Amino acid sequence: MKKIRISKPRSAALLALGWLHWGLLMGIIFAMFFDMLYGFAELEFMSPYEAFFRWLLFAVPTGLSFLAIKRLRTLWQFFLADIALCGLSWLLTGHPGGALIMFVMCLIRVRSRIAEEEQGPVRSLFDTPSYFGLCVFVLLFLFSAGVSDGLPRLQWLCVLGAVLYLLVCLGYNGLDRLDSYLTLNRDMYGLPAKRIQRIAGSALLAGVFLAAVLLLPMAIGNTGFVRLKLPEFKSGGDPGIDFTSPTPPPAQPELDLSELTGGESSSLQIPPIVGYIFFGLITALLLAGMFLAIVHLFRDFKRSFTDSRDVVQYLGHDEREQARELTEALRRPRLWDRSPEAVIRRKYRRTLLKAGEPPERWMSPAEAERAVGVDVPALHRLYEKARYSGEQCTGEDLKELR
Amino acid sequence: MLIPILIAAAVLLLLFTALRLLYDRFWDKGLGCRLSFTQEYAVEDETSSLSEVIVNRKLLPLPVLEISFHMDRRLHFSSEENSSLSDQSYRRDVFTAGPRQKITRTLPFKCAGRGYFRINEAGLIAQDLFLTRKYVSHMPQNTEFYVLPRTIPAYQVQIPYARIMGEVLSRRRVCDDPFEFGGLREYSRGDPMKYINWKATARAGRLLINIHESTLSQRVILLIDMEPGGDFLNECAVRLACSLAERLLAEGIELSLYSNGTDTQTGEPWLLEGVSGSGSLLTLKKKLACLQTGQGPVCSCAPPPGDDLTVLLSRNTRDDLGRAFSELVGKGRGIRVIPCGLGTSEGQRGKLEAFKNTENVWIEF
Repeated sequence: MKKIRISKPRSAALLALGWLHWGLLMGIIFAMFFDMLYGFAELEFMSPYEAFFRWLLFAVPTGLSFLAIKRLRTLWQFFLADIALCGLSWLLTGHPGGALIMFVMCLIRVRSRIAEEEQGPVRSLFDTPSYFGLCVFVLLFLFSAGVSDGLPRLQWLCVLGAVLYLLVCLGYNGLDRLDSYLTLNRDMYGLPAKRIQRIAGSALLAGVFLAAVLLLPMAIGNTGFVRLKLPEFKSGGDPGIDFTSPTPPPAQPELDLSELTGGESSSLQIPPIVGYIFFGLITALLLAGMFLAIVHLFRDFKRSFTDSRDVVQYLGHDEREQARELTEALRRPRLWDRSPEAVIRRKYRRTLLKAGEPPERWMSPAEAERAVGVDVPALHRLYEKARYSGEQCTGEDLKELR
Repeated sequence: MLIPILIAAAVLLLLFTALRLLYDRFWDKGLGCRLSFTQEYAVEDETSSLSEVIVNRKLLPLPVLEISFHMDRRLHFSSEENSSLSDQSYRRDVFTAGPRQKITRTLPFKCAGRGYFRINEAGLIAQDLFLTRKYVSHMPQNTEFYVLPRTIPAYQVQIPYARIMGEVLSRRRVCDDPFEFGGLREYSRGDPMKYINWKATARAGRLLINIHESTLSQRVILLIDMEPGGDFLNECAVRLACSLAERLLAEGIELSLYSNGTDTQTGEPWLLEGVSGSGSLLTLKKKLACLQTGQGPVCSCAPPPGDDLTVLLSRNTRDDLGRAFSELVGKGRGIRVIPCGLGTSEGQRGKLEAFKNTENVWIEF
């Protein structure tokens, strides 16, 4: 068997997010399927909630099939694994459709592997989330809003699924950019991979976390329903589409957890206080984790250390003053600085810029003036005094300038 | 129901855009980059280092900051994987600059060839926090480095040095200064009577004469031929010139050096006139570091030497060069030092046209 190394947490997270996207897409598609069965034929084999969350588990066999196609050398070994994966998919999704989808997926993976051997690495749709995937949720949302009686449960799942899918995409794309950069430059000597990963990774994590905090509670707590009312065709009338939002839903789409745990047969009733305590604890833990991460991050920034060949120093106030000369070329008088020195320097700068092209940074005042053709001895003398002299400029100097 | 979610999504987008604008506006604020050679000069085959200092004085971190610069191929960095070689070596180094951090990286390199090297500019490429956008800029730099020619082992330089000194000393003997007392020695037949020191003779009981030093300015002209085409032998000629100059300056002889090559620093014809004293040796070596190949006959670059000894260092064995050198030397005396490949001097020796006023010295490398 071939060895594929997913030793780095970064690569593992990328793969996991890739498989999760496929679980989300399958989840919403099958949720629609079961909701439509119920809505149109009043057949309820499985509630759409259960279908959605169970099909999220489809990410597991998706990942296993990826590993199987990468690791197993021969086709017969893979087909044996395929049978096992079909069984697992059926078990996890609770529907033979899971086995069927898995079978088709395995066939496509075999084809991709053959193509890979000829053309090099092929990116599979099963493992790569894309923002275009959000279109599936949008289309299903519009569909749920457009059918005659509406599909409120599907609509709720569409919103939740879209938010989850967006988070997956954000995480995946950010991580992919980071991974691509580090992989591209992995042979570079002295590449500060850990520090790049720490800064860019923390920013990405914070971004995804912020998005989750802003969007997820609203998606979960969302109880409204959007009805898209298509106008009946009238001769000579405006054939436009009438959006009405919100309209009273035909059935309130409240998430009933009992549907996921076996319906009314379940006798387990969780008191609300336990739920509050549970969520309170989770929130406190998350906040504490974030606080510790921020403290850790900033403590790292505030210390001096040696990393490979780099000597990294935190610039305290004194060091910042010393290092100022390195960035001197970029410095201009501060906007709020109204001292005579700043006024003279501004006047000098304006004069030079009016006269022609901005001078090069390495030029001395005399060279810069020659380059743009300015010859004002008084301004030159005052500028040199303001810029380089230890003496303070006075109001007299300003008068002379005017 | 959708409005709060859309508002939240808009807030997210706004935050992302604000962060991007922040980076667009301030990514290079308080950012400094300085490349500097840690030494002013080194000798061929020695190791030196280049220091890269990055300062980020603002609070915005730069997760990826690439510094790139061009460097001559004769400086071999030990970590060549960060360099791509063409006619020049293009080097790219990646840094991570946290808020208010100063990062110093030292890159050791080997001086593989003589020369003058300068870094005028460094390219900067930074990326924002999510690595979604690149920012490109450049910063002027001002650092220079000389790789001085290495001196040739004593046994190789011995022969021309002895001959040059022989010539110099023979001239000294002809032009003694009667006011410069150098010591006493016993009288021998042929010595002028006027040099007999009568007081010392009376004390010693035998004839003693004064020895006089020469106060004539002793000057040697070194002509270095840098005609293109023979890089290795040209380099040998420069090393030979450096070794000879070092010993001649130590002896207190004034030197003038001319070449048909050009000066890397100024782009003008290379020459160095009136060098004397051991203190000038570093200047001379730095000047030699700046010598590069050029066009034109070498003998037309130097003024007529008069009585000064002229030494031509050239790999060329062409007769026209020998003739031109002989004409340049005129009534004086010249030594033509010919660096050549190992075992090739015997074959060429017979073919070389001989001139009365010049002497040929072959040195094999």
